[in-house]
Amino acid sequence: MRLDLVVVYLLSRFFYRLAAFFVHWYWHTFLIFSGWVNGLKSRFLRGLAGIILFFVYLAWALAPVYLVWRAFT
Amino acid sequence: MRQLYFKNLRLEMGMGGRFLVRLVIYVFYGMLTATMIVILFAEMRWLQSLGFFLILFLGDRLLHLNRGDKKLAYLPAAGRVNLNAYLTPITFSILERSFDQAFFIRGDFFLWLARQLLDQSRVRKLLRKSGVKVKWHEADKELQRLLADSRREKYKKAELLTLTEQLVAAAATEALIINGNYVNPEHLLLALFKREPKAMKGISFLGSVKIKL
Repeated sequence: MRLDLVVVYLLSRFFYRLAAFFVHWYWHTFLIFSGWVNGLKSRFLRGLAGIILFFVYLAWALAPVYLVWRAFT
Repeated sequence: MRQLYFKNLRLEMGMGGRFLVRLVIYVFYGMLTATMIVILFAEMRWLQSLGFFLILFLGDRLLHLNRGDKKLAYLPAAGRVNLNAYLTPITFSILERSFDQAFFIRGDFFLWLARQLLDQSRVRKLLRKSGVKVKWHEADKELQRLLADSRREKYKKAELLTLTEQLVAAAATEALIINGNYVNPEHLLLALFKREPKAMKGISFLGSVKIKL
């Protein structure tokens, strides 16, 4: 049995999954939010929704960072 | 110019290695879930935070459970692209099982693959939609008979890796043509029909069928 392959595969999958979690959390949420804002027709509504979603995104973005910070400090 | 290839470390391992990988992954997620539940009720605040973080992580895994790592829509237009990230877990598992069966039990790799594909309800549904009216246990019997006839077929690992790579590239092309998000078992079936018409013609109930996606 090629144990080296097993270890390399498991480690790479673990770090890939961890990275994928952060990509989904930050990048995909950003894409969804910007899709919502761009879908609005009125310029005023786009501006208003942009400001509201900016603060929602900020809270969303800080949630995992805050949890990790609280767990390890 | 885009060059598609397929490489997955799991196929390069032996059967024992693959079993160990599966075991470690199941045990890891099982333990992570149990840890999450236990530490959520811990009295220490910092442990609870870790529990909430694990909820987010495992929730994300659940949301993306039967999806590939990347969507075909984001396939780079140029360079060498490993298709491994674009396969759904079920597609890879079908390939892995057929690979093992052809290597260890012997027999035609494409027949093993056809048998694995016919085990999938979504593939059966598609075949029914395309006009295949066969009882599945009879279909399986026929495949078993054909496989028994092809037992002399013996592959080297490198040969099987090449066959798998070619088939996955063909399946990805099929998926791209019909704007699929990931490479699914249906795309493998389509690729099998296009790349291996001889093997498919041997199967009486699939010989003349035209797949309608």
